[in-house]
Amino acid sequence: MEAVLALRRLVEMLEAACVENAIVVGWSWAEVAEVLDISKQAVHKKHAARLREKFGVDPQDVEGDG
Amino acid sequence: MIGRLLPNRFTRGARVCVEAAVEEARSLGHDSVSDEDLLLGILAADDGIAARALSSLGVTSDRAREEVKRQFADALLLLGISLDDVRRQAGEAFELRSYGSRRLPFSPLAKKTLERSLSEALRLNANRITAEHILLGILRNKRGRAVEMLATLDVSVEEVEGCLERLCRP
Repeated sequence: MEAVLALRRLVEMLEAACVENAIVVGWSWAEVAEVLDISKQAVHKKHAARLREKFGVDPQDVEGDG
Repeated sequence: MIGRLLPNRFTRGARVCVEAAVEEARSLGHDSVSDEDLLLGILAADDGIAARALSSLGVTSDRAREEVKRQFADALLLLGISLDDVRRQAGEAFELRSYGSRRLPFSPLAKKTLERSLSEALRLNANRITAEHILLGILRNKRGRAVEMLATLDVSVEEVEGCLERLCRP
């Protein structure tokens, strides 16, 4: 049981880190969404605000191309 | 959410502890605020008897947080996952933290704890619910994660209760 809870938390942390890495090196939200196989809206809604907060601007505006 | 759970019966100090619990939950990557987070909130924010009782038994904010992190890593290790390996793979972006603009919900056990804190306040003929009453509420969850965490730190429910009582009646 303990492991299930830990794993659920780990998945979220890992997703946050991987999406951040991808966006920072210039992936578009559309590409991230495709690889995670979720809608672009969903991935943007889940991660964009956090990354904007962390980097001060939408990372796409400075480093991304799409 | 907090507004509904925390009517005016809670003292300002108790509210600050609950707010701190929400932040503790976030900083540990929890997707809800558990009874364990309530305990961490008290340790982080209480300047009264509750935190003093815990610290006199050697339970500090830092130690408790480390314990929660250790339990997380141990649970993953049961599955053969090394948190250090994951961290290495994911790079610096990996953080033990949960995100999202939405407010974290309280877990069922955390809600029960807050309800129990009200019963504790009534039992002790207090007008308002304080951090001590929340702590007593936490201690009532015998199978809760908070009590379990205290046990791994070699502190029993009875010891904390005894300590609280002594501090209440100097």
